[in-house]
Amino acid sequence: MSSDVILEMKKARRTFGGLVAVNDVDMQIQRGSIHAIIGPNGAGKTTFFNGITGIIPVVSGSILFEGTEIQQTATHTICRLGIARTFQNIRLFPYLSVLDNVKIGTHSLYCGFVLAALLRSPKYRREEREITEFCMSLLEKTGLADKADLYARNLPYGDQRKLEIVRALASKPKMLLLDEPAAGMNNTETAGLEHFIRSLKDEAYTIAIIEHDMKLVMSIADVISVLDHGEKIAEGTAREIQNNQRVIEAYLGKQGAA
Amino acid sequence: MKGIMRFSVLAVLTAVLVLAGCGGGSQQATTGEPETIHIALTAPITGDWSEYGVNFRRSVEMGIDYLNANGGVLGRQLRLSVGDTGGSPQEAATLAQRWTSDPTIVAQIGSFSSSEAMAAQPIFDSEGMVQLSPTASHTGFAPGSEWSFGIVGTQAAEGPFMANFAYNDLGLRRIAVLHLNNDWGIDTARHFSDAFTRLGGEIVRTEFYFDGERDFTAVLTRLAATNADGFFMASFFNDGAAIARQKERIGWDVAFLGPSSLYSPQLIELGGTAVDGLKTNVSFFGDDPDPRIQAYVSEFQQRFNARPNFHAALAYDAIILLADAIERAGSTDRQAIRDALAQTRDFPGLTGSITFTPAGDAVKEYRRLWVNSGRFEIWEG
Amino acid sequence: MLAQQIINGITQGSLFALLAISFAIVYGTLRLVNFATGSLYMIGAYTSFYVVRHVSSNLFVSLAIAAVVGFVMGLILERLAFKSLRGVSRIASLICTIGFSLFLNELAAVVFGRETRVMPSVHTGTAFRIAGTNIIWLQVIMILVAAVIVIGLQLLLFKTKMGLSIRAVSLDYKTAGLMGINVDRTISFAFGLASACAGVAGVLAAFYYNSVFPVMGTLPGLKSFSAAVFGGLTSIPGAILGGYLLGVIENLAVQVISSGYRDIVGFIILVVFLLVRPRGLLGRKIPM
Repeated sequence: MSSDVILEMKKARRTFGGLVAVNDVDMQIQRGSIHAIIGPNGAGKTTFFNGITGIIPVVSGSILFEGTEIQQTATHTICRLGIARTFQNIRLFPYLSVLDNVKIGTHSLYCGFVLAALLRSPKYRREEREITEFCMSLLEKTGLADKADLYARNLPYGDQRKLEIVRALASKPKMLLLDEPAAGMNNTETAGLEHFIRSLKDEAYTIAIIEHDMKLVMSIADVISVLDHGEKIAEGTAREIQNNQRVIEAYLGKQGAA
Repeated sequence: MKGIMRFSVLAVLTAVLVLAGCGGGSQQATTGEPETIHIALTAPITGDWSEYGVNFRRSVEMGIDYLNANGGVLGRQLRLSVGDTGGSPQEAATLAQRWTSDPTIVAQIGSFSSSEAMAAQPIFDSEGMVQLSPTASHTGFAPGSEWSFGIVGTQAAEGPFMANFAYNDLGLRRIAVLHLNNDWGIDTARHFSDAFTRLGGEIVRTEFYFDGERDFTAVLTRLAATNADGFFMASFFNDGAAIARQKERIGWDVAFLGPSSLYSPQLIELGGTAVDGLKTNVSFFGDDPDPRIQAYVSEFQQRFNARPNFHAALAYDAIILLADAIERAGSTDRQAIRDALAQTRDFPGLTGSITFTPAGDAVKEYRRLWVNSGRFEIWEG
Repeated sequence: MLAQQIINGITQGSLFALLAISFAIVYGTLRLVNFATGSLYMIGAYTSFYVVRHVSSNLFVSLAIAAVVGFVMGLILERLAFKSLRGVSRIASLICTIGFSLFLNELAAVVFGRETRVMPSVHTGTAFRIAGTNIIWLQVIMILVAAVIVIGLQLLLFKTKMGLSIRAVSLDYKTAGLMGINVDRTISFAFGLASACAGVAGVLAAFYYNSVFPVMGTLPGLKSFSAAVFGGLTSIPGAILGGYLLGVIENLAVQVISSGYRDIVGFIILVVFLLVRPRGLLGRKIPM
């Protein structure tokens, strides 16, 4: 693991009315690492992701991505900077084809002018061909190539999860945020997912992952941060977290810990 | 900031809506000495009928200037108050309240449309003030009150005139009718059709359209499928021009005619060669060599840089006729003016001689007119 | 005679179809009915009136310029009326389109005058005859222009990145934003495109009916809204089908029933479809 920080959060805070969903959280994510964020339901994990991607910006504090402040940046710009994500509840475009879904992901990479498209300039056609080839190569790598022309809604659940990740990868991100990628998967599918995530790490992606499947988390995460009621209560390796008293309390309640 | 932006957009739009919704009731009064005779004009100065309303005001002001320059009426100068209906009957009624409650006003000219005039009628009737409309031609208007007079003549007279033109002069026997679907259009088509049938002709089919329609091909195609040898359209000139063009486009080659509402230089501008051969009628013809008409036309052109149309001439006749009635009454008493007006016989107007029927309608003289090679001409047979 | 009415209907249907497409694009991307569509049609018509006077009497020059003017008007309308109101409430934007429509109509009345202005007759020669029915070149051109626009739109939507963005935004604009799509710009573009369609329809109408006047867009605007609902508000093929069907049905209604029922037909279709089949003939969740 390199010691180079790709994303740094300082006192990030998000409130909804009186509810403090993320409470002055500090966090550093190392480049090239797999960083898991865990915590009980309602701990503020997804809000944390939403803050990074600008869907629901933080109300105070700062978020630095590769040294640039992004806490007030528009979502599509954040995407262009190199952060891509998947969603806890699948948010594919159900009535676009699998290939089109992936192509959407490449959006930040190319600036196709409409006029060029209508005139079908050689540059445009070359770019268009490159996009298609790139997207198909991603689909081939994940075994979805033969389903490229189906509507996304017609894919089996596990494939939809996979497609979301492929779509996120299509933007050639530096950092990938995965929100409960294993949710609803059976053991075989989860094993496949674990293998896939490891291969992404080998390709030098930084991965932040929210996951409830502790077996998966403990096996792949380099660093684990634990959130509870919007606060970061612990951070460390899998072994450190498993033995952390506050974490056990948070998950099991005080009696359980006692 | 964003909130302010939203608010101002809404505010501007609301203002636009309000402005668009009401025509406004501006009053323009020329101040005069107590000796003056005060007359009111109600007209649609703004709104969809503003061309007509503005011409009303021009003609009436021209008439008053002429009268005042020639010693006035009963030795007194005339002064005018103008009220704008914006084309709205409700506004016409509001203005009627204002005129009748002002003791200095002796009589009112207006308004343009039958709908406006008839909305104001009950007020003039109960308060007792002359309501002299240059253009209201609905057969129900003048008979509706002893205080109401119309000088344009009604379709009850114009319809039979056109029917006679069609049957006897043009030799038509089977006519297809298309009319604008409003009070005026229904009235016009009915009077023409009744008279034509009485003469022995046949109305083979009657169709209608709504105001604002621009595609007449369907209805014309249907009418063209009849065995009609003539086509009567009860329309204003702008619709008439579009109908003529589309009639030509579908290749329906048939004699066609319509009421005097088609007489406007704009008919030819809009209709081009498609209106060639159209027969209509007129009781005021701008190219008439009559020196009185030529004097009026040239002064109007000089003052306003526009050619007066039939409606403008009617408004001029209205003010001169009203002045004549006051002179004959020998008083500015509202009742005396009404009685004198009702007695009008053979008044020599620009739009023909005016004699009121007991109901208060003028019996007009009509002249046959047609479009010949892009010009209106008197039809000589 | 029926053949003539069907030809009349198809010609008129071309205008309805273009306007219905305009409704469909805006509704598809924004879930908003743009009641200013008829006014944009009127602006297109006046554009051609001035182009004919000062630039060229060629119909195609008018079409090109009016498409550009329409596009720009659409961008302005979108910025003023929708961007500033986005997220307030759908009703506010809807009312805003009505207000903007009135504003444009009144502005046109003040700037251009209320009177009907005349357009020159062009391409009125007979192209060919079918079943004893005269078909003039202008009718052929109108149908072809509508066809070219429809094909161009389909290519744009299904073969270009911008088209993919529009389809993605229409399905889920939040997710689209996360994918790096500039949602604001995409919506503006779609709005411009829709307005350009309305402007082109206005040019064709100005030439076909030889006249322009400030409220000329009101009735066609409402009728083509019916056509769009008829076909399915989110579907461009539906809008085309709705437009042509409405044109033909209206003209046949005049022939078979009476001219008085002409305008009513469109609105009966509107009411029936809203009650019985609100998604229209071809309405689907699939965008455009």
